[in-house]
Amino acid sequence: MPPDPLDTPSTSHRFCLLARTHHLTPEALEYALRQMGTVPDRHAWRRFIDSLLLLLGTALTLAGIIFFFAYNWADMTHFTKFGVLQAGVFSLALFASLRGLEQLSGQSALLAAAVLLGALLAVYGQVYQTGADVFSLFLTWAILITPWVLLGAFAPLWLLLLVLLNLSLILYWEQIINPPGSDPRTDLFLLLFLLNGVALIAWESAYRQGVAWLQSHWLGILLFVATLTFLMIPTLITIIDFAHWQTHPLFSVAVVLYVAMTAFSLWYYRSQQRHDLLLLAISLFGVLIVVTTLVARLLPLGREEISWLVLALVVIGQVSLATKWLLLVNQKWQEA
Amino acid sequence: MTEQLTIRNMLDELIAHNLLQPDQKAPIADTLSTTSQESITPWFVNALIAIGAWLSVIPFLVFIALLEIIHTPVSAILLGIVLIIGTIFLHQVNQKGLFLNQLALVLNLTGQVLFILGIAGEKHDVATTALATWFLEIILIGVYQNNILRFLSVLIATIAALVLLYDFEIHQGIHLLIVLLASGAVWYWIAEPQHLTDKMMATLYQPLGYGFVIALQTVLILSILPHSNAIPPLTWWFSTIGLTMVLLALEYYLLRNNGISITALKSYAIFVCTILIGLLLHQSPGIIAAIIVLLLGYQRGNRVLMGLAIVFLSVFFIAYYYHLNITLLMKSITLMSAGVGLLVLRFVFKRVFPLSERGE
Repeated sequence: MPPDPLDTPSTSHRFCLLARTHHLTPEALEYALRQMGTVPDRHAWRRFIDSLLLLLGTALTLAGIIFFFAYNWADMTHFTKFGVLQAGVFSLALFASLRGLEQLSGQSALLAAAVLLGALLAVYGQVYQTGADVFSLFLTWAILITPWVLLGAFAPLWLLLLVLLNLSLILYWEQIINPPGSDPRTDLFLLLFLLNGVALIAWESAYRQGVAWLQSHWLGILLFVATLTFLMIPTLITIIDFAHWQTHPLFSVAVVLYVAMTAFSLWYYRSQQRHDLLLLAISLFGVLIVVTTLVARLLPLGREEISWLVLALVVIGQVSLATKWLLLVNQKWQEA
Repeated sequence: MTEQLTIRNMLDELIAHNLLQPDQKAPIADTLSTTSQESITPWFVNALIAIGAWLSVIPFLVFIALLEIIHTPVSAILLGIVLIIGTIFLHQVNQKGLFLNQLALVLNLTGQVLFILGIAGEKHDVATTALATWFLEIILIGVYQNNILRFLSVLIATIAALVLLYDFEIHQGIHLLIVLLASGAVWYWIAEPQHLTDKMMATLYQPLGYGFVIALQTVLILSILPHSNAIPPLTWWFSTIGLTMVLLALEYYLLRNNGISITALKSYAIFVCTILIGLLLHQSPGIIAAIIVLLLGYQRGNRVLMGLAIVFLSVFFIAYYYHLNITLLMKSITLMSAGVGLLVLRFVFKRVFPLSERGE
């Protein structure tokens, strides 16, 4: 027997529906939305402004410091530069430690210290002209901040680490393994897929275990988009030029992995363990791009007008199917 | 862990506050049991439909061009009108079928492109084309009950307005357009509860509200583009003044709505800070517009608006510092000063107006 609809959780969607069907006045709707926390009260506003000032202030100050050292001011001695940066890193880390890493201000200070550490390494390279490849700067930076990332329990710190690792890998490939102008870098795409895929699996696992600081959805979306994109690029290259398939066997690996990842995502994000309509939509958007490219490649698009009509209908058909399926899945979840 | 509030609890609370009649509970239960199966289309599904529609318009246009049925601008206009009227009927009779709806949307957009290009080819007059586009979009917003098409119509009408201003050489009129778009966006989102209960506005406010927000930010992109002969010189601080006034009005509404007196010290502090920001960023109205959208998004608990605001705020901030005509050293000092200023402001706010609830 279905539950009494009045005993289901009150959501803004349901109360908006009641307002639309004229059961609620605008005043009643506003009151209900405020009680549910959808419309903020004065305390929520106060906290919002507080967080906004903190994050914006930290971001601008850090950007200013990085630009300052990028300018490489000749009037400033090397020791002063090192002194200022080291004092900055030390005082921020000390502030984070004293303030506590469960507070937003403490977490922001640790993130700022991690970013400043990169500026310190860059100044080191600037002053001593070490001649080292750029990838080593990012890799050293990533290694040095790893303990803070582990301690910090703060999603932006993890994102910083992942960005640094991605940059290190790309630059290592460009500078050491594969000089510019050589063949398409399928092997690099596959390694980037592996790196981001491992991060995505780690995030999924933490998310499902209810790790509080990883419950924010945006990090998962970024990781998913990055992982999927690194497989989609070689797949599209293969479709555009089939010759790559024969000359570079790794392209077929990328295509198979892309198909497998999409199929798995479409199953996993609608399974009992995990419901995520946005990630399903992103997967289907990827399918739309890949299938449309493939159909456009196979059709004789020169002067054959019917081919263009078929292409348009294929896109419309895909979008209709994707929309229908997504709405059905959403409806099923709401009924459950 | 707090217990989750049920609809029954909330309705009881509304009854206790005389916001609902007790005998309304039974019809509400009926409505919920019959309509709970209906699900709204999430924004990203709408985005997928809109992108898919535009992707299909291109091959459709090539298909029509290759058919060689358009020999004159008049034939383009006629075919455009046939497609537009045909799709309006198709959409009216077919509300549920997704494929036909998507086909109707694509053919309608194709019809619009043909109609506008046909008018431009026939009249060789920018003003007539822009006015015809305006007329077409207003009709479509009223007649074609589809959120995506209505949203796109706002954007197309905004582009037509820009073209019209350019053609009439009323270049500074863009500031009026910007202020109107901002005021429209504020009104659409602030009066959301009233719109939801209004028969006509209930279906209109969301596509138009999002359309106004995106159109506002897109027009303001002009303020950060590099100088070129194609863009006439504009006095951007005119827009900043208008947008700062809109922001002040929004803050006034929010303060009053939260029971804070307009003569209270914190109200004055907020107004003074807003005017200072307006003065400091007088060449960058995009930042003020993004702040307006951010506040609107937070007030309505609308994450899509907040996400849009954050994206545009980042773009306008980066452009602001990139275009500052000073050395990198001075830029860095300006950035650090602004950052430290905001942190000091936060510290002062915390001391003068302490948080009434625990923690951050």
